[in-house]
Amino acid sequence: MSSPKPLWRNIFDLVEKGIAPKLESMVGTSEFAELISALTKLRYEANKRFEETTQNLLHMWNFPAVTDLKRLSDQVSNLERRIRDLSRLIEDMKESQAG
Amino acid sequence: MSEFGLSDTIKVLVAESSRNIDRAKNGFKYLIGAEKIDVGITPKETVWSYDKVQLFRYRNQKVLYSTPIVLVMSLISRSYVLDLRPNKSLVEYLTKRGFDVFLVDWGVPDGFEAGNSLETYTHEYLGRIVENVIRISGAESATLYGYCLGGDLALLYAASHPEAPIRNLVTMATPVNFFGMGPTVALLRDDRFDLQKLIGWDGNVSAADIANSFKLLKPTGDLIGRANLIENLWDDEFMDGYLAMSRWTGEHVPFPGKAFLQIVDLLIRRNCLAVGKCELGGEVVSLSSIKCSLLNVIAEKDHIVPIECASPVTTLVGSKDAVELRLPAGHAGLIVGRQAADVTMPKIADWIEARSALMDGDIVSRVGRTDERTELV
Repeated sequence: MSSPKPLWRNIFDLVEKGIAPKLESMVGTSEFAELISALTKLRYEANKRFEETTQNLLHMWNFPAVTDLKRLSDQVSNLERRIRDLSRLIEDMKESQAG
Repeated sequence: MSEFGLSDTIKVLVAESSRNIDRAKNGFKYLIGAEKIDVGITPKETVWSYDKVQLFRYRNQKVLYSTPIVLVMSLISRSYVLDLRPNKSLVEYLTKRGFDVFLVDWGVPDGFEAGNSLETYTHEYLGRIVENVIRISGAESATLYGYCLGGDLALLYAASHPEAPIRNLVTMATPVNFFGMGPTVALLRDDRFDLQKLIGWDGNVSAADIANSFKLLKPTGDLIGRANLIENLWDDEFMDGYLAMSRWTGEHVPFPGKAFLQIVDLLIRRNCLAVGKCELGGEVVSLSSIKCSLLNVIAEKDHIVPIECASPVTTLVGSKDAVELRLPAGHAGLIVGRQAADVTMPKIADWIEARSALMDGDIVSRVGRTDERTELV
């Protein structure tokens, strides 16, 4: 037999049931969509500004900035992709020779 | 009478004291983070890997069916949810039922995967995965089993490769009508929303943004979780499940940027799966070209993929044997929890079993193939 819910849980459930549908319907409104869209833009711009500022400061002292690391990471990824494509090509050639 | 009442009171006090000791013990472990829980522990080996994709094969000494099952996970969450905890694991259950089980783990994307398109998954990776499952298992065909977005990948793969050796297709909590999805997906459909601004410096949508988008669907979800934790802190079994689930929900993976943009354009904005035709890999892919047996499992209490989003699957495919199975569970409740172990897993396994080949070569045909679309109760 399961024990009855404690008093605090009953109060919590009551409050939650009261506010949850309102919050859920608020998330679905056009105003909320605009808010999220604006916050995403704001975050993007803030990150961009931060990167630009730190880039200038770090470059002054000859240190690499995040943007440099991004570029390097992209280059490594491209290189990895090329190696993968080449290995695939070799595998295919081996298979066709064997066949 | 009063004597009985006293002993009863003592019993209650003793039980409550014992619970309080357990609460203190579990609460302390939880707070100091000592309660790290192991997940995905069914014995397995990586039988094939490619880029970051790994194909696991689960050890099974008593394989009864020669048709292997290939479990395909979504791109945004960890695959271990299908093998969460002992006795709460889909993988473990299917293995015990005598299936040769494989699981696709997409890995954790970084800059390398940022350029992966939807076709990379549906054509290249899944193509190679199915090819290798057939080669490794020695089977003639396989059962492809996709969960959530993994079901969409499986559907698109099967639709674009009608010649592929797919005997059965299982889609579970798989959205096809994206117009019926919740507010997070509606946000992505909104033209005012600049999708490029969601792409992080590594070219992917961050795991944190993915996690937050799920939280938006149920804003009080975290609070309910905390309340459940406090209420059941004394219960070791509850703690075991809670910690495993909270580990999974807290470990989303980044969404490869190119595939994300493509999915938003094709699946979310153009709703191409519901329309039945998708432009993929330079050709128009239609779900009606799927002819293999199909089981579409729907969770009736799913707040992520509501019923109306998942139910059109059986009407869109061209299979004569297309079955819908509705279960009174939530999105994750389909694969974890008591309901999953007692109802979901047996029903799904029964369906697959009836459409799988036995090890000695016989075809299991306890369920006759019908020309009508049926519904399991």
